Amino acid sequence: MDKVWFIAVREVRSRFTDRRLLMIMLAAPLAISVIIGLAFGNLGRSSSPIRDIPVAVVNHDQAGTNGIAFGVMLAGMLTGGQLQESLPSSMAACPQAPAASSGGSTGNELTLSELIHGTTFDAAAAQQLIEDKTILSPNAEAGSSDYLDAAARAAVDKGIYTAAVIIPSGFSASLSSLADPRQPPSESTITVYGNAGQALPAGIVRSVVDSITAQLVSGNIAIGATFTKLAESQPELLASALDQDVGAKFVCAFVPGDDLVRLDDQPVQAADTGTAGSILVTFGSAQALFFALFAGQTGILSMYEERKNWTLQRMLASPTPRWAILSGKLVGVLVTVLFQMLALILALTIVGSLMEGRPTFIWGTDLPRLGLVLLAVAIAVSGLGMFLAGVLKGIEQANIVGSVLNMGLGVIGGAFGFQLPRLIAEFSLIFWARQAFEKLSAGHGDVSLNVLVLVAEGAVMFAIGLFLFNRKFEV
Amino acid sequence: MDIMVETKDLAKTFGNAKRGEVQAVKGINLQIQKGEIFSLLGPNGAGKTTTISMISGLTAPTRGDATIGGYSIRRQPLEAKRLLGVVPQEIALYPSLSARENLEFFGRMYGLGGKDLAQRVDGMLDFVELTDRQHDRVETYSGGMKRRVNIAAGLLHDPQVVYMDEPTVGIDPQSRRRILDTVKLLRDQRGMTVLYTTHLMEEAQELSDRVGIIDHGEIIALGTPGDLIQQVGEQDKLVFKVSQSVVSAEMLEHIRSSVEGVTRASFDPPGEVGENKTNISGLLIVNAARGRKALPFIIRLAEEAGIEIESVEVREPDLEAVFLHLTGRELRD
Repeated sequence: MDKVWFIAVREVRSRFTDRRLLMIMLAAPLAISVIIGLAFGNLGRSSSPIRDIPVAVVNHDQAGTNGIAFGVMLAGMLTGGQLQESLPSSMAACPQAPAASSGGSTGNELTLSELIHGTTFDAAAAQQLIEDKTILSPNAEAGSSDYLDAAARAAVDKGIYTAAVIIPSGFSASLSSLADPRQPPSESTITVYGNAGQALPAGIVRSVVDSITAQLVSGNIAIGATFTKLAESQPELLASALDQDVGAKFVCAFVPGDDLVRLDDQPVQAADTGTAGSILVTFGSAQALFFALFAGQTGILSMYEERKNWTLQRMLASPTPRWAILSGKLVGVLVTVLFQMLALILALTIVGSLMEGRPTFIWGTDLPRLGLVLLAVAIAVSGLGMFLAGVLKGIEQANIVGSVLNMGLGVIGGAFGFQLPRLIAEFSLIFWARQAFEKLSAGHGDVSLNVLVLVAEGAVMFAIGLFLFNRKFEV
Repeated sequence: MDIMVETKDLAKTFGNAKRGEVQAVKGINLQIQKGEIFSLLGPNGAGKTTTISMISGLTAPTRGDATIGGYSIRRQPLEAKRLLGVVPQEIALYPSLSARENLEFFGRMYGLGGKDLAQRVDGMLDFVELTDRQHDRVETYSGGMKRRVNIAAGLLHDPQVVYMDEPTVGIDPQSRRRILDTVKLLRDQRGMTVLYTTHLMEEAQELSDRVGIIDHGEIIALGTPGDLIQQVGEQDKLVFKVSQSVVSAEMLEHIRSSVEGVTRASFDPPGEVGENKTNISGLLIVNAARGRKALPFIIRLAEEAGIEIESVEVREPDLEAVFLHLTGRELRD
């Protein structure tokens, strides 16, 4: 075991005394992350480039059986934070409902009306764009829902809007069915159609809509659960209640607060993280992982370099078993990647703190899980390196194929600032690792699936790589 | 004497039946004695490296076995490798580490550690005269200094057998001389068995107690350099540079028949094909069993015939000639 350790120490030392590799391992991802952080890091301030995101709001919804038009509420919030006007009078009295004067930010908070500039997209708006020849007339029956939806999508594609929020006709009915046991459950889906070229602001719109609907849904589910319990214990009381206006009685349960998009909200266990921190977590972790792939591969593939320089043969000619040499290499790579990731995490924390103007640990407070994710990342990266070493024929081929593969994993996994559909992104270990870091940063501690995927991916690739490598590695 | 290295029907075949096989080594049998410097000679592709790789446990033999100090490299590889030091042709060192760090690392691969390792490293740095540069990175060293550290790394664990693969390639004459002296010291002072590969005949002749010539994966000659030269019956070659452009056939026959030991006399005119094609003088070439003894008689005959001799060169037979004799090819082909 001593020899494994000596080989690992030498491996780590070689990596960290190689200036070229240090540039790849630390300087490049740090620089890129900081640049991205600086570009988007002022989101919470008035000078933020991401403000007033233009959004087309298409509302097909009608009021549900309880008389509440949730679609109108949502549309109202998106079109200038006009919750007061869209709320029934009974809701306006709820304690969490926004004050009439609400609409401006205080301190570092960013309100919905500052973030999203929503416009009601109706037939008239569509017609105007068609007459201006900004968009073509949709291939659907004029005046129909499909016609309006297609026009809104075309306007997004043309860049008039960053996203279109399409509220379906059964939205209120669907929400009401959750709260009223007398109604059959129904489903409806809000569509957020984003401009592919503006992934970040479109993603913000999607998050905002998700957040609002989540609160509406949870309020209705809570009411439904209350009714169900009531039906079991006091059916008479329930019958009496249902004869009256349910919405009016329980309306405060699902009235959204005016702080849905306050960016300094802190969930339990979440990091004390502002927008700059969040962006650093997203881009920084993806960049760190992207460059860790290179570091990991360089470590494992250095076996070819060592064979070329005959240092490997010198080790093999010594009374050192082959497994010890391979294990030493692997441990060295694992430690190198861990050091690299730790160094980047610390560096990005410092950058994030400077950008936030206060000490901020942007990676969450769950340090054991953070360590677990780092270890899983190191295993996955080393496994990929071993796989390449086993499959490819030499250092030149490995360098070319490895670079192309890493670029591909980076693109798929979201290391370059845009996101591919999740179905595709899941093929990249960068996605799983980045998502784990995001979860930890947001205080959602369950990263077991991410860790499992990373470790399994790494272990399988390592086993295959080791088998192939051992078979062909005649010195 | 004790046998230190032995190969029995050692063979290696590359490729497979489908894609075609190459028999790199075709069943070699060798016995190298303790304290012997044994050189393996052969042109590129002859099978030298494959043979040595099998002996040092880097490549698995297809057939046969090799033993080092009685330990089978197939069945007891770790025991066999403990007795073997390797000095490859390449500078098998980590350039970003210092000489001392390199030696310490490779020493640990042989199970050395603690004070013992430190003392051995000190001793070896002293042996290769690099104590004053021990903490400098190897990448800052000259070619000769790197070679010396390369040798030190192979000797650090005080092996009983050391394999040196062309250790003098690409270095200046002074460093080369130093390395050759080191090899002799290893045998004379430490009693090491040295397995040496080279394509430089003069090195092999100077160093080797015995030589094995390998070609097409087979040992085609084995013995001391003197024995090998004797075995093939090679003669000295006397080369006279003369001002004449023509020497008559009668004169050549006269030299051949009247000087004792001369077996052949020929003339290579200037500017023609053959050995003399770039020369403006003619070459009178005489083959004789004892060239130095025949030399004064040939000079007298030439003077009598009015042939003006500009210079004389006596070429004694060497291993190059042996190889040429055995294979019809030059060693460097």
